[in-house]
Amino acid sequence: MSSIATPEFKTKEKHDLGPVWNVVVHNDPVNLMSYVTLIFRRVLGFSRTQAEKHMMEVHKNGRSVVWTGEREKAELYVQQLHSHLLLATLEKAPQS
Amino acid sequence: MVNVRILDNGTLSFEGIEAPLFQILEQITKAAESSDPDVEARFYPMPAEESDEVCQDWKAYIQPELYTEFLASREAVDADLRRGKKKADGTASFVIPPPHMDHWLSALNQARLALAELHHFTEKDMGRAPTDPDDPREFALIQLNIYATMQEWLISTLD
Repeated sequence: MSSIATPEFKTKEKHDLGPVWNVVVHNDPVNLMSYVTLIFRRVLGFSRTQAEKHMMEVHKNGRSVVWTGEREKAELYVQQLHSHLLLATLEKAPQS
Repeated sequence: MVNVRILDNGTLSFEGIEAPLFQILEQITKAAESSDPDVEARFYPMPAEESDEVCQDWKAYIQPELYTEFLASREAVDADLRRGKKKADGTASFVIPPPHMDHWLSALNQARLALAELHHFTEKDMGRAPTDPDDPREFALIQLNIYATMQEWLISTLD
C-alpha cells in the first residue's frame, strides 16, 4: 500500500499577493440616477440599498469605488459597465 | 394621450402617440449615431490611464465588441418603430417585445449621451425647460427630455 504524502501548506503573506484593483465609477450628468442604480444591481449584484448608496456617492463625490479585487475580474466589471455606457475605470488600490 | 399597456406576455404596447412625438422617437437611432470625436470618446472611454497596457487591448478587442452591442440595440429599436402602425387620425402605435427592453434602454441612453455631447449640454441645461423648438439646440433638449422620460418609464417597468 502506498503511503500518502502529507500535503505541505504555505501561507502567503499579504504583501506576496498581487496588487488589488478598484473598479471606480465616475459621475456623468446625463445618465439617470435610476438607470445607474439599475445597472449597479445587474452588473455588480448589489441590493437596491447598496446600489443607491453607491449611486449617491457617484452623484455627490464624483466617483465611487464599487468593487475591489483581482485585476482580471475588475477588467470584466469595467467592460460590463462600459457596455451600459457608465464611465468606469480600474485603479490600483492603495496598499494598506 | 398615449395609452401604454403591458400585455400578458410582457410586451409593452404604446397606442395613440401623436405624430410629433412619434417622429421624435423615430429619431432615436439617428441621434445616437455620430462619428463626432467627443461622442466616440464618451461611448468608448478608456478603462485606465492611457499608459496602462490594458488600453491597447481595450481598443483592439473590447471596443469592437461594444460597437456591435450598441449597433444591435439601435437596430432593434429601429425595427420596433418601423413595425409601428400609423392611423388615419395621425396617431401611431408600436410594441416593445420583452427581449427588446434592454435594447431600448441602451439606444435611449446612447441617444441622450450623444445629444448631450454634440450640444454641450450642462447639468443646468438639462434641468431647464426647452424654449424654441425651431432652434436645433432647443429641439435636441426636447429630444433629450423625452428620451429620459421614456427611459425612466422603462426602468420603472423593469423594476
